Amino acid sequence: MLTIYINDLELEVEEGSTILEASEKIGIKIPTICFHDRLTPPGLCRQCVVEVEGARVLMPSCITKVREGMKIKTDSERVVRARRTILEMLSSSTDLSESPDLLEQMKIYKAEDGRFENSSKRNFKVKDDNPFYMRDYSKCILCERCVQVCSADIQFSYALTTAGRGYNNRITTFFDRKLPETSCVFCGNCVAVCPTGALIASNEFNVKALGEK
Amino acid sequence: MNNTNEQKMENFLEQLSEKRRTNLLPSLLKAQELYGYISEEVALKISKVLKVAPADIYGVIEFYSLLYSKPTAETVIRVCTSPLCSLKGADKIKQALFKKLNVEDGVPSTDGRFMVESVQCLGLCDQAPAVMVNNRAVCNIDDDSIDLLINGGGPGSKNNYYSDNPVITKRFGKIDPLSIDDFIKEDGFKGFFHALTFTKDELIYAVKSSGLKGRGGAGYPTGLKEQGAVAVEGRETYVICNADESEPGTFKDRIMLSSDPYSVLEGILITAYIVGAKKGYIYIRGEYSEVHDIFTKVIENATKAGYLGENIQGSGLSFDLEIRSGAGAYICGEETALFESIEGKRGYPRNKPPFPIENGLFGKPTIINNVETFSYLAQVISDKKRVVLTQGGSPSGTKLFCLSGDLVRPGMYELPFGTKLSEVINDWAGGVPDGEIGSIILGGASGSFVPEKYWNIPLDDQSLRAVGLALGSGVIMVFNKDRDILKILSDITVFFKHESCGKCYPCQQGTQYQNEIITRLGKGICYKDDSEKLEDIGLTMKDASLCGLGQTASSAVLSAMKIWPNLFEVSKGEVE
Repeated sequence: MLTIYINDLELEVEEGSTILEASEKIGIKIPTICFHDRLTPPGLCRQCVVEVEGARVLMPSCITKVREGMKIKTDSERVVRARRTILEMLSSSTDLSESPDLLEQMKIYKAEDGRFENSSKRNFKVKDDNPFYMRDYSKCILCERCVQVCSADIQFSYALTTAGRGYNNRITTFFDRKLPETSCVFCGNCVAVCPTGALIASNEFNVKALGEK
Repeated sequence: MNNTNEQKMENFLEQLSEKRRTNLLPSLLKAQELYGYISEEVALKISKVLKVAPADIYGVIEFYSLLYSKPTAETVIRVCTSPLCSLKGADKIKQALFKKLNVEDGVPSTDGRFMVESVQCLGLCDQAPAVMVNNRAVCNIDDDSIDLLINGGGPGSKNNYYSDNPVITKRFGKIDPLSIDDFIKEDGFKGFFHALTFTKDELIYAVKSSGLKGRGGAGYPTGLKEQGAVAVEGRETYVICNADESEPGTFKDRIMLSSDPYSVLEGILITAYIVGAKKGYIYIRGEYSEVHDIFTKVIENATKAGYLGENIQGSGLSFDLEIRSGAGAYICGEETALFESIEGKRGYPRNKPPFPIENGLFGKPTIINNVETFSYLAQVISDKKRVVLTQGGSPSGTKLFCLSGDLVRPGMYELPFGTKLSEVINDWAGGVPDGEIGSIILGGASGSFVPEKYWNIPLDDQSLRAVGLALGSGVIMVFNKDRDILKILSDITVFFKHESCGKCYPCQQGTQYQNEIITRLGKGICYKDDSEKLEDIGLTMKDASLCGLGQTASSAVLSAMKIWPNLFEVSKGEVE
């Protein structure tokens, strides 16, 4: 067991646990976006960052392991600014209307919806190329969970990839082919893990709602 | 598809010793070279041979700027639009080329002969404005050279370097850079042979006590890295030379590797000896095809002369070095992104820990250093008296500085640590032609503007750190009084927007919004909360980004906001 301090509270935690796990044990809620408890944490959204005494930058709590004597602040000014700004930037680039968890986080962190004007807001036509699910990438926050489950985390179908670079990253297939022309087996794992409604089952209700956009 | 090309591609894939993902980038670069782009057909062929999923291959093609999934042209003209070239008229050159060749940015001409494309830094900042015509650099372009460059001519690149007490540039100009005999005559490999007379622990002690620190920007003590990698002895270990410099203002790898390449090889060999590595890589940025050719010869000659391969010079050390070419991605200079790139993936940096010395390339302990660091290491070890680069906590010895911008003599300077900033600019680089210094950026595009009160500061880590500045990789960009700060910032923020890999949110999103606001400010449109927004974006990137690129992508903007706050605030006559 190791002794650590979270927000000045001393606690004993098992060696090998992450800061996120240790915080959850004592009821401190750290917000996450890309983290999924059944997938390899990619540590890319940076929403779960915390301040660790002695560290130059904020640390992602989902993948940072506790160390003996670690002093952690989960809600310092720096932490709150980063979380709020990340939400404000996401809401300026992406349609978060089907992301209840993110909308809730925006309330908690008093994030201003669409704070940054955006000349290149992510706006894509809904891709409806198969009978099973549709892809509305205007809602995609690039958490890459779909790529993970399609690849080595679950399905080993390798139909999806991230293409592009930087702000222009996008989730797509080999040469942007339609899904039936790829190695996709329509297992549905990607739809199940999508946190924002960008991937959505093609039932009658959804087809209608998205079709009206 | 051209039959000859098809055969060449087949042959290339056939001769690969390892038919696995690590050879993806070399294969894609080969296809790009042969066909001018990578078609679905060729990508599927590569997929089959290397056993990489087609979607993954597409993701890789789309990540690297020098790989295209659509046809390009016989002649591709890449116009550098990074800060230094931009100031010297890159836009004018671009427009002239568009007009003359009747093309749009990045779109091949209808006859497939020409394509003109705006690109980020080409590493020719001391000879701005510069373009690449296919693999050839054309520099110092003026109105007259535009026609020349279209026809394959125009002034090529030069190696501008200066020093009056050279340590690692001492052989420059004295030797034929490709001649291993010349190198040996000028005390080449002396450090290597000297190293063989010591134990690994003694060598690590010597490197540690020399005070040598990484010269790529982060400044991590070289000896500590070696010690860390040796600690996991028994496991396969890699040595990597990072020659992927791509940051505006930086061009020292290019000059080092084309003026005294064997000195870098010597440093790599010494490191391999210390950490017991059998295999190494030198990762050279894709735009430096001349350097690539030089180092190909260097490896050939060194192998022939017994300085690479089995039982090197009877020392018992066996070591192979492989060149890897980048494909147009600044982020691959980040050490873990570079590993991913060698592994055949998108250049996404990894979360650290684990650190390279325990878990680097292919999950093995890896020691990765900058070009300058390896060359310096060879010098440190070759000196029979122990070289001490640290005196009273601050480094002595010399450092390579890259000077660019509005200067009489831009170029690379090897100067003692502690030389004053103003001395470097005025005495060495000749100062600003017909004018005065308006602003200075220290540390490259990821560096900071230097407040005027520090223009006389000694250039060493200690003095700089005390006032919140950093030397980085040794870049000094100088701008005259007429230069528009917002224009400089606009070019810098375009660079980071273009080069962000997009993995982590703060940088993926922050580089976009930072650039949007700066560009709008440059047009004279200012809103009352712009400073606040830039600060939130900048500090979020600095604090929460995954890697060094994101963590420093706002440095220039944040430093400018401190020095010239009024540029970011609503004033009379501007829109609120």
